[in-house]
Amino acid sequence: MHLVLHLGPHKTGTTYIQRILWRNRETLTGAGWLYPDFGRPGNSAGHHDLAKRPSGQPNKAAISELRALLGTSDQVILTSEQFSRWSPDALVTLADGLGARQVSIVYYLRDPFDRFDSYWRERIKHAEHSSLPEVFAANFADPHRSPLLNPLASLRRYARLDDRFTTRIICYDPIMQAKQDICAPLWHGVLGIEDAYDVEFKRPNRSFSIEISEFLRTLLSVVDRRLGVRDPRALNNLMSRADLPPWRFGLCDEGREAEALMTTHMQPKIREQVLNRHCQFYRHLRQVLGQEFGHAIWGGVKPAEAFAGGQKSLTYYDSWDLLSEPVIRDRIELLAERVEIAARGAGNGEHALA
Amino acid sequence: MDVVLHIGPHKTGSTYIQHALAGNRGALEGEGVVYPTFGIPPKMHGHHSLAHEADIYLAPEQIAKLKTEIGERERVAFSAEGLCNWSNQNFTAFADLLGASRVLLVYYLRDPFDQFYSYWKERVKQGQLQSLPEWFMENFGDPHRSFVLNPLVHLRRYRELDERFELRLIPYETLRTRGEDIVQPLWREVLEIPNGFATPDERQNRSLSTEATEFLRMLIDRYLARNPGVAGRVVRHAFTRQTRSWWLFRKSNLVAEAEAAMETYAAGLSRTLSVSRQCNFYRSLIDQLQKDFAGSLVGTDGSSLYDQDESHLEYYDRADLMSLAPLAEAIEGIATRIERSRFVETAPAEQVV
Repeated sequence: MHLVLHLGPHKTGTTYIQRILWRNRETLTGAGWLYPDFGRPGNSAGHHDLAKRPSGQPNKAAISELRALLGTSDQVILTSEQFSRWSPDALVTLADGLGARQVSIVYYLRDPFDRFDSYWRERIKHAEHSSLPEVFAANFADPHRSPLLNPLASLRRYARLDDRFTTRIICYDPIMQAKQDICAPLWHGVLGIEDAYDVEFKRPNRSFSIEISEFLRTLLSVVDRRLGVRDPRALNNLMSRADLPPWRFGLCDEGREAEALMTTHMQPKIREQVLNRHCQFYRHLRQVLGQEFGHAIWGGVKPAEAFAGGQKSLTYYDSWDLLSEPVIRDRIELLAERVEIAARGAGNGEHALA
Repeated sequence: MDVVLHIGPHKTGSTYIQHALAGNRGALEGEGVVYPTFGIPPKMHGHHSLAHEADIYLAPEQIAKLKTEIGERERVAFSAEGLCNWSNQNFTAFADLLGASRVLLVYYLRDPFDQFYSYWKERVKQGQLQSLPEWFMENFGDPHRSFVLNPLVHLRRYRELDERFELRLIPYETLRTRGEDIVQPLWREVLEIPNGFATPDERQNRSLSTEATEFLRMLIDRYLARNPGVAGRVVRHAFTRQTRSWWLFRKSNLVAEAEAAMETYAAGLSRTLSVSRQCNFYRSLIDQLQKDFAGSLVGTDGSSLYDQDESHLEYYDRADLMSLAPLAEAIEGIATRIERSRFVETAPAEQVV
């Protein structure tokens, strides 16, 4: 059996790709590829339940169950960005458990600085409220060891797997620059399907604007200070109780209102840090990519062209600047009050934190 | 003539070294070394005017005054941390104008991460509002190009100077670890005075504690919000008691007040940035220093130039602190006291980092 394992990583268009694959599963079946229904959470197209490791180990029972469902299928696709966190041993367990004789790991390679920026905004959607400079410090203190900035550690792990495994690297940035569809290299290149696929009308999981992201982040930090939540999951639940789920804040009326207020009152206070891609870290990445992984890069993209060029501008706001602006502060306080009331069971004594 | 230029950099005990040099001017004369008053601003001990106003001080008529002060003596020493930023053109012109046959550039090598942290605190003392994570972002985006983190930015430039120039690198950490006075290698190895001289008892220009630094940062912010356009140094001078002209601040110790307020209201709110010294940047820096500059190191083979442990840099979040009503009140209260003073007229001249 040939297993194609698309493992992201995060912020490389994975949700979009998963939804395309799920939407076009009948076309896939017609072309001899099985896109299993098994291992998907109800609201998601990716195989995130299968990729979950509550005990830190692959779920062998789930893998066995999937194998039983595969029947005679000899070409299978699995996709979840959570697979990117699996150890080599865990990936071998998956291949063995499914009886795969060939495994193609599909890894989308995105410009590290762009991915960092996108990842930070994504964290806010998951109720984490560290500032951009703080998340920057956690990753740039040693960029070579940051899984977010340095793809080489992951790629080297995959390169050490046994000879059933091959890695296909798809460079995200040249595809985006050429305004091509991010799923096309996987569909046509890796899966070898000539027929076109049906594209979704709306791109899922778009990043929020910096104004929405920073308003939400400041709101989260105010709620956290008031209620002493500390845990992003608990904070996420509290926000959802108040009908302000962080992951869809940018899509709701409160988010749109916040964006308008931020645009009107805060834009002069926006801050910027410019990063230069002509640095040693990028030179090292390109060099190693060429030396060790040139053969694995799909579509003849040269390592020198794998990433965006020039400078990267990171923009952000300071939370205290937001809280010093009366209009913004009042709005944040109002929403924080709403979360607090929801947390306390709307005054009936039931404390959500308990 | 031999010229000794102690060129810093910032946050390597320069003010202390300048006190030691100026305090021993007479003793140095006895050893045939002049520590000129030329280019030293009033009430200071380093040649900061020379460093920061080279276009004025390197003019022939100014150099003539300097030569008069030097007289017939064959050794002359200068010290200013701002000299580390001089262009090679300035260094060469200065050597030519003095007719120097040898110029020793004395540069203290301090652990980049410690220096980075200390530099941030100094910038706040000078009126800057940047948070530690923002300062981190400014420097760690490309640490190899940061003059704060990478001494090679300076050192490689100095190597392009002509053969009259020699570099002496004094390892700050090694001295501190050994419990040695950082000025001793300057006496012994550079000025060749085996027994050295007495040095000041107290360290000069000590870094503020993290708590005092963060309090000052917020105080400057609040003061500037109330008095737009006023330099942050007004607050800084009140805070660090660098003026003696106004009774309130002569009798107050705002640093102690700030630390007490932080301890009372902000205990447990500090955050930490952790930086591993096992990173590529650090390793490559030590490799390069040992490879290219081992011959310039004074008193060490370079094997233990810096610490190896992880560096933990403490800071506070401004929104966290300002959300604490009693602390915000304390800050506003001090801002009001500074406003009511006549400080603006009495603050001494700024020393720019």
